[in-house]
Order: sequence, then C-alpha cells, then structure tokens
Amino acid sequence: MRSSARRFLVVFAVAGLAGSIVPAATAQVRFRVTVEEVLVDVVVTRRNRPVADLTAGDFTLLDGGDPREVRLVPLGELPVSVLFVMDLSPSVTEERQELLADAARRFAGQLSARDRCAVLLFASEPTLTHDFAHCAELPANPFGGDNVLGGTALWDAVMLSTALVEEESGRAVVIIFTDGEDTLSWTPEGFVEPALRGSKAVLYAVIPPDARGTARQPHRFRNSDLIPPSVARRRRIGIRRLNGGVAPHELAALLDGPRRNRRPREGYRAFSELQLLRHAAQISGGRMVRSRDEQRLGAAYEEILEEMRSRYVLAFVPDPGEPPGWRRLDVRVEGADVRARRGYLHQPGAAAPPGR
Amino acid sequence: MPGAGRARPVAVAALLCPLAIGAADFASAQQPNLDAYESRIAVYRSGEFGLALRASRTFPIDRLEDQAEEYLDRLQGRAPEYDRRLLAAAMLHFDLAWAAGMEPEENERIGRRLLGRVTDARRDTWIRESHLGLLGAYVDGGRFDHATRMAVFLDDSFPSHPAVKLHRARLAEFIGWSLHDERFFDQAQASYESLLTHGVGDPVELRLRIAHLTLRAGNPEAALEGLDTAGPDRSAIHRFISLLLRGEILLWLDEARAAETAFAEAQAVHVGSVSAAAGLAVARQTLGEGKRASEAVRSFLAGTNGQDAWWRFLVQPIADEVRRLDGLRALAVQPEK
Repeated sequence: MRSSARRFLVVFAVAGLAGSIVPAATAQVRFRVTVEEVLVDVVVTRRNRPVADLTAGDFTLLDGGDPREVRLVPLGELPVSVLFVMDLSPSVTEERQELLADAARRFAGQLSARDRCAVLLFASEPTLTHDFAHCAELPANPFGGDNVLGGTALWDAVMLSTALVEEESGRAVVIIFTDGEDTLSWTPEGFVEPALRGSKAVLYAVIPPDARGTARQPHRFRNSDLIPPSVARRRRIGIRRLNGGVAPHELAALLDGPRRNRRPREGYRAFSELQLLRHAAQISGGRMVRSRDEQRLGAAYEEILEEMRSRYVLAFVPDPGEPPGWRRLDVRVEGADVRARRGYLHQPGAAAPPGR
Repeated sequence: MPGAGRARPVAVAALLCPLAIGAADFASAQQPNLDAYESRIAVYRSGEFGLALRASRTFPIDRLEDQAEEYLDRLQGRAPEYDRRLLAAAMLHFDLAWAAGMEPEENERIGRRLLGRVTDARRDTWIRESHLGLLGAYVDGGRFDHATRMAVFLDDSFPSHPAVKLHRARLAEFIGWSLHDERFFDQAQASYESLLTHGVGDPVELRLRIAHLTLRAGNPEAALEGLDTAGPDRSAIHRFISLLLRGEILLWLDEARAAETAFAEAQAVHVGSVSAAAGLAVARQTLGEGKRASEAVRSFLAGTNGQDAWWRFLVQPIADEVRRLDGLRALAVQPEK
C-alpha cells in the first residue's frame, strides 16, 4: 500500500475509445494507460445516525482544495481485515477481558467469509496471539492473557498494529481497547501523525468508562525553527506517568541548586493520552468510542460494526501533475456530517505494489 | 511498574514468592517466636527472608524502630557475628523498604542506623552497596521518587564514587526522558561531560548518552555530529543505540528515507527490539510504504524476546544494581570467618 488511502491500479483498455485514431482493421491493438485511484473510506451521519443509500453524486470531494469526480466502490468488492488490539495492563480486569472477548466474537461472527481477523495483545510489548485468518476462526477467548506488570507501551502498539494491517488486501480496521495509559513507548508521539497519514488503517479506540489516560506535557524543542509552528503542536513527545503519580517537583531533588528552583519552560500545556488517541483515530478516519457504562463496553464494538457496514468507499483519480507529498482531503455531503481520513500521501508515478 | 519493569517485571515477587513456601516449612518445623526482633534476625540469617519480612510487617514502624534500638543496646561489639547480625538487621529493614513497600524512608533510616554501628572497615562499603542496591530496586520497581532520594543520598555520602556519579546522571537522563523536563537533561549532560573529561566510565556510552540528550534538547544536527564521533569500536548494544538515535534524528529532520535505512540496520542488530521495529514501521509508513512497514513488524514479532535494547541501554544499568542487595543478603547469612 503506497498511500494513506488505498490505491488501485486501474487499467483501462482504451481500444474502443481509440476507434477514431486506430483503423478498424487494427482494432486488436490495445493501448494501456495506468491510472492510480485513491480510495477514501468515509462515514456519513445525520443526527448521529448513519445515512444510507447515497450515490456518488451526493459527495463533494476536494483534493487539496480541488474538486474531484468520485465513484462509489461497492463494499462487497472489498474484503475487510480487522485487527483486535487489547491492552493487557493491570487495569484491564479479567471480567472486562471476558466482556470484550464476547463482543469481539460477536463482531467477528457477523463478518463475511472473505474477511479476516487477528488479535494483538500488548502491555510493554505487543504480541500477535492470533494471526490473520477467517474471522470464524477467532479463538473462544481471544483476549485471554495474564495481566502484565511492567508498564504499557500504547504508542508502540498503535504503530505496529497499523503497520501490520498494511499487508492485508482490502479495507483494514484496527480496533484497540485501552485505558489510554502509556508509560513505556519508544515511539515519540510526534511520529504518530505522519505514520498514520501513510497508513490505510482506520483506527477505532474503545475506551472504558474509568479511563483517564496518562497526563502528558508536550515535548518542546528549544530550536523552534526545527518544526513549523503549524505542526509543532502535534509533534510532541509527552510525559510518561511515573509510578504512583510522582510529581516532577518530588524528583527535583536530583537537580543541583539553581536548576532545582528553575521552573520548566513556559508554554507547557498538560494534555491527556486520550486526546492524542482521539486525534490519531480522527486522522485515520476512525474515532474514539468511549463507553459510559462498564456493562455496555461490548456495545462499543457493535457501534463500530454498524459504522463499518454503513461506510462508503469513494474512489477518485488524483492529478498526476501535482507534486508528491501530503494532500488534504475534504469530503462533504450536504446536510450531513462526514468523517473521513484527513488526507493522503500523493506519490505520482509510483508503481503500485503487486496485488494491490 | 514503569521502571525497569519491562525487563524485570517481578523482582519483588522473586524475593517474596519462593520464601512463602520456605516460611511455612520453617514455621512448622521450628515455631520461632517471631515477635522477638532477635528471632526475626535469626530467621533472616537462616535464609528465610520472606518469613522474616512477613513477620516484621505486622509491627507498626514505631515499634520496629524501638525494637531495632533495643537490639542495638543489647548487642555488644564482642558478640559473635556482630557485624553480620547488624547487616542482617539492616537488610531486613531495606527489604521492608523496597520489597514490602513499607515506610521506605523510615526503614532506610533504621537500616542506616544499624549499619552505622558496623566496624569501620566495612561500614562505608556496606552502606554504599546497600544504597546502590536500593537505587536499583527502586528504579526496577518504577519508584523514581525513592530512587531520587537514594541518588541524592549516595551523592552526598560518596560523591567521588564512579558508580554513584554515573547512576545519578543516568537517573536524571531517564527522568528527563520520562518527563521531558529539560532541567534533568541539563543535569545529566553536564554530568556526562564531566565524567568524559575525567575519564570515568565507558566513553562510547557517555558520548551516545550525550548525543541522546542533545537530541532531546532540540539540536538534532549537533546530536548527529555527536553520534559520528562516538567511536567506531562499539559493542552490539552501542551500535544499536547509535543507529536507533540516528533514525530518530533523521525522522525529526524529515529525512525519512535515510531514517528508514538507519532503523533497518538497527533492527538487523537486535531484531527483537520493539523500538527499532516501531522506528522502521514509522519511517516506512511515513514514506507510504505500508507493505514494507508490515514486514518490519513481522520481523519483530518473529524475533522478540521481550528485551528491548533501547530500554536496556536507558535504564537497565541502574536497575541491575539490585544485585548488590543479593550480594549483601548472601553475606548476611554466611558465618563470620
């Protein structure tokens, strides 16, 4: 997969079109023109309910501000690969695991025979406990695993899971259950957005009612020229919560005299891991689903399934003359709310990978 | 436990669990009166650490302190095994502090009071060893508030000891990385540069750490130069760290293709390190090469052993100091020669 939205190598046999320039006697001569289509997975809602039966004409798609003609790709043409990702930190109790396992099995049970499911568990490191296979083969206890002490590496898991689904054909959905705490990830938060821009995965984050996330402070580079202000806010490496909620001033004893009394640089703004997670999901065209009721945690998966079924896949052809790089996408439907990935990585002339 | 728990998730359990079984055996065989401080020290010296710990936890800290003082009053310098008994008593309090999480500051103070009565030649060594061990134990358990207290105590008491200086800097680096508080980075960087100047520690490691701190301070170009001068003769872990840092720097500089090369080389050194896999996946995703990103993840999943080399470099050297407690415990149970 070469871009943020899935690309198709569309081969048009143009012999018929070429009739005016090719003598009828040589009509067997075929000119091949390759055009890469960009696919955009979108959800359309009105008053929080999915809107059905839209046609291509109902959509307006702006590619870097330029309108593009779109076609609707029938969902039946595209298999779905679903990666269930489960946080095994101690906050995820056994009861909760069972509740979610039921929900995941019900979810998988309603997918078609063409669709594929896998399970990745994580605490300090991710483990693929069930590789991609027919969803009917999902194990009876897909999230079975002991809670693991040793911290949580949420962002490492997000990066690895959204990368892993790239090998799958068709649509890809990553559903991650987490309490939003990260204490160990190597992945700087600033790398999440650029990576997700290049991924085809639609990320859903399911959050339990008691999730608070890790309190974070944005990382700041002294050299503010390093990062353009427009992206500096997003390129931040956060604070990892120290065990027992240790406040920084308790650690300041480690500092020598003058430094001990110096306040951290101004411009810090505390933010939550959950805000980052919501942002990451939105970039991908997914969303964060927060359950308000423990017993209805499983309903979050039903919501996601319903949403997956009601999504539209739009296809458009980008202008090959545009320079390579990130291009913003705006998708609109009159009188409705549209959620879609926020852009795609334009790579004119890049050969699509085999099988895509 | 967000400390070195990634590598040593059950250090506390390792101390307590096997001992629970031993404790039952001991209790049924000998029925000691564990209300008496001396009995608990004897139990501890018999190697039944868990039993001694569990029996001690039933007392409030004030009572424990009184018992320790009474013990000191009774124990005379010519008593057999004088130093070893004091060491065992101190170790019991240190274990209460970190493994049982019981009033750490108070138990540390009682332990120090006991060790303060050890004969001169051993006193400083045992105090230093036990506190370096506690530093490791607290980092291992993710208790950075307590680890900070240990580092400060060690620095005040043994300011010129190389391990003390190095660990203090490493702890500041780690806390700075965790909090992204540049004051800790400044502290660590100044310490590493001083160590480098004075020829203390592995210069390659120090230069890599300085490069890391330079990156964190927002100077990627300077960090890159620092990596280039870190030295060609590197161990696998240092080669890995150099490549990992190079990849991160290059990604920050929007040179995703060069970053991808560095991360791929890092993964070739330690295929099972999640940090290299995540870096490689990020670089390839950023380049729009999703299929190759998934290959990086597959390589990691096939090769991981749960030991991330970045983590080992960053914090494991401090956490490993917990072994010093094992050494002192072994000493406490041995008869005096």
